[in-house]
Amino acid sequence: MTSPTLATRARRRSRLPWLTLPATVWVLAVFAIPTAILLASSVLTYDGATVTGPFTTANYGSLLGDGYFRSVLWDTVWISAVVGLLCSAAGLLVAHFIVRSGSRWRTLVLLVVVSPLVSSVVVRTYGWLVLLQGDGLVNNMLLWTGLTDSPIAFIGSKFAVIAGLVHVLLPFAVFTAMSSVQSVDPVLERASRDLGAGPVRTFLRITLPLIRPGLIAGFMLTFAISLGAYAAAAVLGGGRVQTLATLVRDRMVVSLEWGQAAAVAVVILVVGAFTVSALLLAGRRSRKGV
Amino acid sequence: MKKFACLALALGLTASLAACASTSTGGSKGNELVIEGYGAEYQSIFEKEIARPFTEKTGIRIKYTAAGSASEQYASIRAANGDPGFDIAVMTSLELYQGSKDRLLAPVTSKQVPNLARVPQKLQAKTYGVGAIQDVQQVVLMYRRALFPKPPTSWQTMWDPKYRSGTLIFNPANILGVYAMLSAAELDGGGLTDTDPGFARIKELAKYALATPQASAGAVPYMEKGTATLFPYLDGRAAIYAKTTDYDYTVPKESSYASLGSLGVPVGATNKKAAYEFIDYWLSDEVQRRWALAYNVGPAVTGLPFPADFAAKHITTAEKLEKIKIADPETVTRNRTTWGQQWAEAVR
Repeated sequence: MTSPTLATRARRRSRLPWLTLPATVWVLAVFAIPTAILLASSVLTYDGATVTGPFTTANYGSLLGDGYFRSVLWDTVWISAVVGLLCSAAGLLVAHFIVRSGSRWRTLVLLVVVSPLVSSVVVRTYGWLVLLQGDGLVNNMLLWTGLTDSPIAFIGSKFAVIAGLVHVLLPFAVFTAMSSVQSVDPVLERASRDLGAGPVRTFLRITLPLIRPGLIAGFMLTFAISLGAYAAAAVLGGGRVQTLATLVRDRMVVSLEWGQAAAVAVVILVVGAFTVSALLLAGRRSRKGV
Repeated sequence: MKKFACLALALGLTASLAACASTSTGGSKGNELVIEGYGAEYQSIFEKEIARPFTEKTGIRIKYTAAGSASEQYASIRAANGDPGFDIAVMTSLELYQGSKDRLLAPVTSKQVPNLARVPQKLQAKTYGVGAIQDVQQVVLMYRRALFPKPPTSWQTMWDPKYRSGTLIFNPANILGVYAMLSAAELDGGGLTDTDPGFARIKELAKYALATPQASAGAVPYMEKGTATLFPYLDGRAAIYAKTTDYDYTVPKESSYASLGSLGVPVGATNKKAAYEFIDYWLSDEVQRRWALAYNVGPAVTGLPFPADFAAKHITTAEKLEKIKIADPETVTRNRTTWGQQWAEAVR
């Protein structure tokens, strides 16, 4: 009775690789091929609309030799790192509350975390524009409480871009942290408390090391998305905050330097891939250490 | 056999995706013209004053799509290698220059468009043989009436400590930002080939300015709320908001720059014959006058009769056209990246 079932399962398993074919073709079509074209575009020469040879490193040379580009690169990495850290920290606190707390509010908190996902990034970004503008809610509250005498110019600042990105990306960090917090056995935390450790010490010595992979994954995810995020930088940056994504748009549309636009896009890919790889490596080493 | 079926399915899926991604309209015949232009009030005025009367006269239907800025429209022509799926793009003379250089816009001559011969030489010279200029806008100084009992007379007023906190500094990604920067440079002896004084002025003003819009539509909320004091603007939109808000506009004594509204035909356009007929229609006296009055801009054909109050505020005569400055498209195109960077550094 058992043998035929196993044989059937084995036959089914042998067919499974074919089921992955559509997904593989899809990934090749929408990711690998465009990425290859992007890489090629960054090392070829544009003669008007036509891409021609020979291979050249001029696009990268002129970018890396340009102080302005380096400052934009630095600003983008810096903003993305801050967004990643804020999302990871806030995501951890929210996830801990949702998973561990017995509060009746936790469903509501979960709903609040999920609800932004039903509207588009652009809508959420314009929401922040309304909140942060000169006569917006935030400035009105600051004026009403007497914390400032005149409206603060939030729009066009890095603060506005970071606030918008944290709002947009926080759900990703919360979901990543939730799975990590769920995987920690509460018995370990109770044992720590029984042995005399306070809640802070228990969190720092027991919970935090165990959920570190989730935190790193949340940081990687939000950092990588921030690197290429366009809407928040374009709308909330008000033209004053330039990031790699807005630079790609300017090179593509305004100055029509598509080779350089492709090179900037490759830089985004490389910085993202490098950071993710470095964090994965660090995560593996720390697990070995444990 | 099953392997082949799976492979065929995957290839079919890829082919379907490729077909979906194609930008060509393919199906449109000679009785339909696909035009890509600006949105908002431009679109509604265009449909009422140009599209419907043209269809009534010729039987050619117009399919209009609003796709953003002129540079975005040209970028889509370039991305599609001259076959973006539309027959005419509403752009500026800068895109005509680029299209001529890239050979992605079809030639437009007075043989195909007879009314082109009536356009003054100063404007014809800025089409590079690949389009037509259908209107002339000028950069004006928009000001809040309540703050100025008399209209301001100079661009210099924007740097006046009394008004600078309500000014707007347009990004040079929008051509309005380029012309405003050039006007600022000229206040200190600079100009098209020496823009440093312009960026020095922008840097000074950026400490106080109300906002740094990336498009002319970005000024509208500040006019509606009445928070802006004065700022450079294009006369078409300026006239519209002069009717609905507490703002009015004037041409400063230092004169101004012109933005030339243009029509270009991509080389791969399906309905070139209808496109030429449409351009010729727009350049006719009747339509030129109608469009100028409706959109509050100068016509491309001078010498047409206009009401005195309209003529006082727009480029309607050959004399006024001679006086208005037209920035060399080649210089602007060549320097736009550098100017964008200098602007970003100045407003940081």
